[in-house]
Amino acid sequence: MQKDKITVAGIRKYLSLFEKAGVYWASLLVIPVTEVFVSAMNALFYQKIINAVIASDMALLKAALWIAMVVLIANMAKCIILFNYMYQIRQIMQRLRLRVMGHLFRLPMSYFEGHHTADSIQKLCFNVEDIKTSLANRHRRVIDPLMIGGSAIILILMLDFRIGIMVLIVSLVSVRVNMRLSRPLRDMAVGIQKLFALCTERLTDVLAGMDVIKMFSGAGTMVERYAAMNADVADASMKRFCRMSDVQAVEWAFGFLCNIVILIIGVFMSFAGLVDFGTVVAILSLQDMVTYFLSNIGSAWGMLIDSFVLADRVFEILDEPVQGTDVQASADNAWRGEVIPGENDAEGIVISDAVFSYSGLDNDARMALKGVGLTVERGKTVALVGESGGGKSTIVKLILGFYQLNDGMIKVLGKPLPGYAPDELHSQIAYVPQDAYLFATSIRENIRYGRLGASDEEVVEAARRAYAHEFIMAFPDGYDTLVGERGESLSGGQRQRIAIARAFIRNAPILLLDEATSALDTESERLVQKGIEALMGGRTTLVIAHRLSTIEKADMIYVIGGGQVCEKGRHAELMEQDGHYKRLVELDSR
Amino acid sequence: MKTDKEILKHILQYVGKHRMLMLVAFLAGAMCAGCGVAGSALLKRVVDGLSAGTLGDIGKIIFMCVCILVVGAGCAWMTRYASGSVATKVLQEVKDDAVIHITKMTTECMAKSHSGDILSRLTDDVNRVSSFVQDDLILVIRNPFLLIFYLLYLLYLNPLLFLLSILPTLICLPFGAMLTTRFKAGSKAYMQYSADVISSSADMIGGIEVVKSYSLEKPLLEDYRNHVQKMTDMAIHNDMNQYKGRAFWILSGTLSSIVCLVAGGWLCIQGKLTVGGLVAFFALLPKMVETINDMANRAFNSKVALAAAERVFEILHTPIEPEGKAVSGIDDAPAIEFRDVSFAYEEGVPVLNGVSFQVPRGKTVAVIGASGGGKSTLLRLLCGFYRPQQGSIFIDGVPLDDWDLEALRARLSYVSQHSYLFPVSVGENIAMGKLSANEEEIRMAAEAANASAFISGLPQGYDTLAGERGSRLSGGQIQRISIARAILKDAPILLLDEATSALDVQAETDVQKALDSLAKGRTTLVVAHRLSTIKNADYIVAMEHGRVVEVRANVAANLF
Repeated sequence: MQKDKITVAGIRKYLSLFEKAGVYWASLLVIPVTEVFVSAMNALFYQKIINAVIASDMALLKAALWIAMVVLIANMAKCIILFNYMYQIRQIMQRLRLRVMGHLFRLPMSYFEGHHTADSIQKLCFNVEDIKTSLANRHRRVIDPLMIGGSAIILILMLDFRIGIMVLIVSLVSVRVNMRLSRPLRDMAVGIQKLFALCTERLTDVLAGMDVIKMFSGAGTMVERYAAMNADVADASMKRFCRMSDVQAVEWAFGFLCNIVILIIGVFMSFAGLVDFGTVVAILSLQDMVTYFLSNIGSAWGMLIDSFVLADRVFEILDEPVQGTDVQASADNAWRGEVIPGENDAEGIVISDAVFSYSGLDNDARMALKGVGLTVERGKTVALVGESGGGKSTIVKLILGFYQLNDGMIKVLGKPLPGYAPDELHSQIAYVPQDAYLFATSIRENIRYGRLGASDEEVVEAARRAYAHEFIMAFPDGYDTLVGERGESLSGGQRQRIAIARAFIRNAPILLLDEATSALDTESERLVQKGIEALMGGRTTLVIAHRLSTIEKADMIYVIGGGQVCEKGRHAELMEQDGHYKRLVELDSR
Repeated sequence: MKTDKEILKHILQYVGKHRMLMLVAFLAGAMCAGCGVAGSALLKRVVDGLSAGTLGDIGKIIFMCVCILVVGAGCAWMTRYASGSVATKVLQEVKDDAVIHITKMTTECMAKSHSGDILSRLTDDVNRVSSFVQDDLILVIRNPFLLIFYLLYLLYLNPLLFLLSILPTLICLPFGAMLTTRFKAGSKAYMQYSADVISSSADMIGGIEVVKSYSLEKPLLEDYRNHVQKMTDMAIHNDMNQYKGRAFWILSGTLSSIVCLVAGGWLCIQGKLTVGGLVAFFALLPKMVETINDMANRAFNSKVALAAAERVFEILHTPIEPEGKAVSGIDDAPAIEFRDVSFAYEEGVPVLNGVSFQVPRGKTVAVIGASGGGKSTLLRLLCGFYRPQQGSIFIDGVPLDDWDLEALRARLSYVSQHSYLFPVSVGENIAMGKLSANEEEIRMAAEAANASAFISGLPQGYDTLAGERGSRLSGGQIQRISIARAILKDAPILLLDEATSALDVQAETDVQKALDSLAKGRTTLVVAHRLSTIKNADYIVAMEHGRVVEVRANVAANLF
């Protein structure tokens, strides 16, 4: 949406963000009406009772008491209405959160390649949360000032024109002065935040270089550097306090003017017979609403624009075209044990003349694959080696069907890729990525994600075969241990073995494996290696290999570089060739 | 866990340094409240004076109005400004003290607490304390006095009316306060839970390849649905508390003003109260109710602030490195001696097990052995980062524990495997080796460290920023800069932990040259990985599983 421009189509689109929100929109209108009603009744009560007192009229006092009852009940009703309003917001938000997440899941892989993970998370969590702020605050700040403020002004002028004008003028001046004074406060706060961030940065430096600071007396300057920034923060916040004090003083002064001075003027006027004193008190009770109106009416339009702009960020996800079926509608597509019969029984994976660029353009300067051909025979292991960025991971992603080839052909189990539904293809494959990704649930569930519906016994069996059972049982909660965010409570080797167990339980005929590069300690390394070897047994395996032991055992090695196959052959053959491969191996063993 | 009282005492210690400002804030606050009372009194005088026809000079009334207005606004300004000053200064002082304390903290403590944790204590928590000092502390102290002010005046106006109008507040207040406290605690729990949901959904997005290749969309979405459902339930439950609480607060305010006016009106009609008295009463009562409500609400804020303060002051109470008083060693003692030293980072996992050996003055000793054998730990012990659990370490004949740490560290140059450069200029990084080093010295050190050539080639030469956001320095360059720093320091003893990570051949040679020039003429203890280093050492100490298995003079070095 263009800034500052609100079109009918834009509004319609904005409204489409909120499903089943009728009660919400109704509440949005009912709230200010209630507010006005409560305040009007309250003012009426003040007027009647003060006049009753001045006239010593007991009957009027009793009448006022009835109005007071109405005020009380209306106040309680207001609380209920507000609660219901929040309740509606919570429901709308729940639907919206699920909708965005569901949509994200259905986006094609290219979306995630092109957008940083943090960006999607930002949208899913924080920008969606912004919508809640729109629902709860921004919308009200557009509607309330208009409805409440407008009614309050009319009421005040109706009660008494002269006092009314006086109150309105005082309010207007007070709001103007207050706004003028407060305006720099926000910039000041931003400035302080920036200084504060710098201060934190310098603290980080001190912490990171602690050893150096201890060993080199000259490095004490780093602490001084921090202290200097800290002093800057203090200076800036003092300036801000100075300004805040101004605001405070002005607020106090205007408060005094309205509550005492106008009241005193009202007293004089009432004794002069110009107005009854009850009315003066009633008008002053409405003055808060006028102030609210005047302080907020200026920002109402901005609030509306903000709501739209913030919604746009969420639409950046919702407007992305999806791929495949609705997640809700799709069946559980875990591997169910049937191997799809291919035309050629010996074929595991065949890639021929694969040309691919992430942009999808044929004349892209950065072609990821420039005519790659490779074959993994059924039950054999093929290792891909080569420098990073050479195209190894791209090959694996293509086999997983995350992208479409520009040219060429990929056949899995004898069937060309476009012929598979995504879930059907995935059910034939167990994929073990380089960073063993665990989800924030129990170890058991993380393994079971390999094949939903697997029994607990099968989970344990898979863990045993992945050499993970022992360490899992060493946790007090065993398989129910929660792995924590990104599995951070587990060591690297443990995470990898759980990922291997997940692949085991899937029991798919094809294994795609991206070996971890990060070094593990010797014992972990050995167990991970054993787990991987067990997993490979009998499966058609394509492995992006970093470990020499894995490479040596492969039935065939493809050296991939610059999007092409540079060399292929077995370990011994390639070592004799004295080419890329030999250099890679030598570099590695140095 | 400390008691709230102790923590408050600790805060007051800092606040106490600015007691004059605090006093000003307090007095100004009290006067501000006094002006409020004076305003009401004036109102009463006008109303009663007019009805009785005894109102004096109008000019005098106007003059009093202006006086109260000016004094009140001035006091309001002063209250805010003075309490803000105190808060700012306390914040600054606590942070400075904490950082100085951290630099003296034992490495053990540092290692135990995440640096992220320290950061959050010194940012979020300190801010919480500061906002408590700035907004709450002054009011916590001031409110009871305000209350007494208002109370006395209202009682003076009419005791019966006072009792009646304060009753609804007294009844509603406990419920309102309880529900509000519950709501705030609930909000915290909700925030915590939604942070968890965010991180778990971050997992799902981050692991999208796994999600897609295992067709996990449906179960994970189901998971997410459950999380979101729970979030919604928590939020609604919490909203319930919030609005129930709000109902009580509104009830408290509305009822007391209704009671005040109705009962007061009745009293007026009965002739027991003047109209002016009622108006003055009614003008002041909301302020009183507000003050009471405020006090109840602050209770929760104070709790949060005290918890934050506790976390901050914990930093100030972590143990600091022990040190002795010795500032010089014994001349003819061996430079370094380990005597039966045992050490473990964690209990039950010994790293060093009765290690004994000497490094004679002016000689080079190479420590060799498999990784994880405790070699680097030897160097860290010498620097005083950790203390052995058993045995003793002598440096220049003086036990480590007796050394003044600054004097000890001045005698040592420690070049670790991971050279750290601060994100300041290259020149400044080198200058850290010596207080007030001049440019010439810096250049000479860089020259000696074989670094001057590449530094001159950097875009801004010595002024080029090093570190993460600066120009990208290679591993070898970073090492050479840190060696230049050590050369400038010119300490008699060199502790060198050779890097295991491979550099390319040229970088390797460059670094080696730099190290050779650093080691020249110094007593050197080196954890060696390179054959050339081992060859050039005078003695070789072989270590295995935390024990010294062999000490031999190096014949190849041919120096004795």
